[in-house]
Amino acid sequence: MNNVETLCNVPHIIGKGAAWFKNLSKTTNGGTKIYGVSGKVQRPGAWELPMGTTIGEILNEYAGGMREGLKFRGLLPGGGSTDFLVEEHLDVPMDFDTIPEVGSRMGTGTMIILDDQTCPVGMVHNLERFFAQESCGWCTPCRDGLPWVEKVLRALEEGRGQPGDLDLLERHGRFLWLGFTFCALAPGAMEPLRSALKYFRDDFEQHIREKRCPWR
Amino acid sequence: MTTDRMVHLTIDDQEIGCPEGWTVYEAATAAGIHIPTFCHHEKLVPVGACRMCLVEIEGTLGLQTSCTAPVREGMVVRVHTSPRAVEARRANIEFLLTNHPLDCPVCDKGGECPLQDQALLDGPGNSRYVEEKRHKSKRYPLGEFIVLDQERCVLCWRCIRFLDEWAGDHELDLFGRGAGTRLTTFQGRPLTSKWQGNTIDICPVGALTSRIFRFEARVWELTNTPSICPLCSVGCNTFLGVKNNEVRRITPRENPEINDVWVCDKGRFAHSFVDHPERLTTPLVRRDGKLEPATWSEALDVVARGFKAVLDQDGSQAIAGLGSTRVSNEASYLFQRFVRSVLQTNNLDHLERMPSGATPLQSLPNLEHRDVIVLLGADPSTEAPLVELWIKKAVLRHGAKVIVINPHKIELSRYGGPWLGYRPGSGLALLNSLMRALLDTGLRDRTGRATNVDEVRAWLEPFGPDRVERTTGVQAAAIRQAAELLAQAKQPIILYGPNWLLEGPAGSAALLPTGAPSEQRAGLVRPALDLVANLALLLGGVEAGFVPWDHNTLGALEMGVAPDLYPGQQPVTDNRVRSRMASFWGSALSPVRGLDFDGMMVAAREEGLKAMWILGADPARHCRVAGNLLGQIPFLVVQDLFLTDTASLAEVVLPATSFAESDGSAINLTGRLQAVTAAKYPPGQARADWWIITQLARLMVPPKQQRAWAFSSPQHVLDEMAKVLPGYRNLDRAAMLAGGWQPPRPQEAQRRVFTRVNAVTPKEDPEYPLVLCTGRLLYDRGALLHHAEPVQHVVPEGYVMIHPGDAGQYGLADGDGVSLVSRAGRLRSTVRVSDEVAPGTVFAPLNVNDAPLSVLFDDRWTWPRVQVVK
Repeated sequence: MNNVETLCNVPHIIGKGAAWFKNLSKTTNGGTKIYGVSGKVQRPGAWELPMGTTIGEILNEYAGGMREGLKFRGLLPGGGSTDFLVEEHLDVPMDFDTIPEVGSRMGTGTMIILDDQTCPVGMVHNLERFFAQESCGWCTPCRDGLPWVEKVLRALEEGRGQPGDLDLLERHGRFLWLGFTFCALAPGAMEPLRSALKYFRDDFEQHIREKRCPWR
Repeated sequence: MTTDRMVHLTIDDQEIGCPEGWTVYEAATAAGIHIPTFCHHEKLVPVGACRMCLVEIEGTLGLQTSCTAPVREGMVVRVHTSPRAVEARRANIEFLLTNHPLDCPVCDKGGECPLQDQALLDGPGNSRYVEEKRHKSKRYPLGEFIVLDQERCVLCWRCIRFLDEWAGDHELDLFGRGAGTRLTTFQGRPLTSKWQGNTIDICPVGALTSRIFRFEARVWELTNTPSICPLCSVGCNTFLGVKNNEVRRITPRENPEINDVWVCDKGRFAHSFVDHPERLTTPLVRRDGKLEPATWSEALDVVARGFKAVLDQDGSQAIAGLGSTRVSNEASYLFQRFVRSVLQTNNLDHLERMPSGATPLQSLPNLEHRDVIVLLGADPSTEAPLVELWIKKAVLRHGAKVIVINPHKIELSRYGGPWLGYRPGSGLALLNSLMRALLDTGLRDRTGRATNVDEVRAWLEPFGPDRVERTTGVQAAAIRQAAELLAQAKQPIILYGPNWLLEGPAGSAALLPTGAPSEQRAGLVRPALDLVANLALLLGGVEAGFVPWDHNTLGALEMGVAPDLYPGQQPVTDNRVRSRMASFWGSALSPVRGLDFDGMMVAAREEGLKAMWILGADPARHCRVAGNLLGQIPFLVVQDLFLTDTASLAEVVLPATSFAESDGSAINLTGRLQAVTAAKYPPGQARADWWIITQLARLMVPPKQQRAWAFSSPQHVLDEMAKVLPGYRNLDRAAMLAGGWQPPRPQEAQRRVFTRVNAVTPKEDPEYPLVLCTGRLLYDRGALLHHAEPVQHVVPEGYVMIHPGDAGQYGLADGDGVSLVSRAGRLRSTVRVSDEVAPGTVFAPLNVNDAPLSVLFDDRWTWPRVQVVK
């Protein structure tokens, strides 16, 4: 592990002891964590805070809450390849044990916030376009599956969505999942898609029903 | 790694036992359980990329790629009984097909395509993909032989891995990433590997297809007849795919003892000579000085009367027969039978005759397990490519070393083994020196079986590596390095080729007069063979195998197309053998030793040779000096596929069949007897050699001998061969047809005594300061390839390779047009300056110039001395 954040902890743990380090945390995961917030918030940024600071505290205390006129809809807690969390999870402490309990992952600890004036389908499409491009091409499901996912989402966004598309996306969520691919890139790419289909299903269906993106 | 330990596992509720080290895929496949694959190929190292072979293994979280999962005791695997695995494989087919163009109706792979088969067997049957498919290059030539369709490619790495793992030619790779990944060559350079055609076979889709076979036929229209490649001594097993009586393509036929599942590009792509419009389609008879078409009965009548007239007027010694290393055993056997029993003479020979003292290689696959391979005047890459492939396997998989002892560098020099580049003619001195250096390494324990080691030490005294440096041109350090390698070798082998044999005459004695008896001439190669035997004995009695050039070199000798040997290499002078043969052949036989080819040409010059029958050989081109004398033979009959230089001198030309048009057999370089099956009808009136010989015999023999010539098929000829040839009594025809039959090898007395070989330094000739040596290229303009248009594009223009030091001395630069001049003749060529040839030597490849290199040769036994002038 050569993450700078990890390495920076080492001299302090050696100098001041494990107990001191553990006590810095608000939960059983010891120490501090660098949290980041991006999206349409008042003060996007990164802060070193006690491990286990809640999502709501990070968002509202440090990032200053949502920008004027925007409402919070959800967030990816640890980067593009983590599952969406929503309003009900704002009190969840951001640490490695608790976030998985509510169905996502800590990942990098740098949250991406989704607001009510941004299309969740468009956001997921943007992410999947990125992952499709990032695929190394080694294994079939990732190489050929991710571009397909991207194209279906683009169709939804462009008003060409078909009734079966959500089943298709769910199916991709199953077959680009852990245990089917060579590495974790495709499963990671499926995390925001699978959870978006869970929390924002109405938005997806609206795209198909209205044959357009309601946010455009 | 496969071991002897057995592992027991359950696959789809079936109890299976298999050796430890197998993969789940191998175990399932062996048990008859189908698992689809694209990237996996049994001959390649698994990579687990395509995910087609996903299975469920109890106790593991995700699905596993069965091609990479090793079996474990007690493992429980579900292939078709796991809905999740079945679904996953179906999904992967669907993924692959999203961007596959599905242009099966115009794809050459259609009908034998794993993607088609697996889409039907394991796929969903329809696709939900409605988006635009991605576009890449669709008809992209990767060189002369292969066209790439990047849209069909499923990026399985098979072609890349084959070229890396087997051919050692890293010419293909994947570029870009993700969905945009493309298969191509580095910087768009053309593929040059001589093994590239195999990537067409192993491509699981129609991405790599043959430019030669392109749109020639749908594969189901082809009749695939098992055959043997006739283009070198390996005898790769093949299928001839024929449609409308034309050979459309050649594909390899698996034979683990010979070519595994591969074949070289020459064997695969150079087949159009078979259906070439210039094939002889009717007999030709000379009338008023011109060769005119004739019927078979006319032509055979002319031949029979011509031979009879000579027999009556000049006797049987005025007739001779020249056979070939390229025709079938049946043809060779009947030819010598005819010459001996009907023409009553032993004046029989063939060019490129293998000396009877040369020992065939024992096994091709065993080459993989040799740790040091000595190549002595042999270049397997151009002369016998499959030998190269097995050597590369030893090098690439097991780290074997290759010692190249040859006047010029060869492809196998690329692995960094020492290159002992000697001046032609100094080979004997060099090998003596190598032995001396070996003894100096203290190799004593290996030589235990030899009785005269101390004598050898004394003989070799004058051959210290430093002392031979000047005469051989080989650095002492290289000799010592080779000796060190050999001293440490556990399983070394020596392979020597026809070029090595020429070191015998050059380095041993003054030239014999051409009128000398044939045995004496044959004895000229003896020192070269003795030295090989000495080296093998010094290394502890290791194998030394001869690698001949031509398809049926062993067969021509074994069938007795030689002045002193009956079939089975039995001496003509042995009365018992002769009376046995006479009883088989229904005629008394001449006890007089025959003339060899040189003897025949001397007789021609002295006007003692009145008639000659040449079967499948072109001495007018390949032995120009002797060939000039052919015109002085009053009655010359030539039997061949094309109107060769020799044929155009003939009184009668008989059109023969190619390997694709007649049944027969051949013996490959390891002594394996293999069946060749007719795959198509011959063009026009061309007829099989056995038929022509039989018909002619029936015209010539008296009525009571007719029964001795009652052959009605080549199988009948084989029946007689099985009786006549020692060791052939148990000939297994089924084996011969399937994978070849190995006759019992004669028990060779283990040599225990070194033979003294004196090496004479070749005389310098200030007027002609350089020695010419020749060799084969893989693709040339030889008799058959000249008529194989697709490979002609890769034949280089004629050149002469000269060392930079010599080039400097004679003021020559790369690309200079020059004349090669010897005492015998001159030839135009182009200079290639390269340090891949020994100083003092020039190398020129055979069969690429318009005029044959043979114009420079004094005789068939010595390299000519030349000057190179602008």
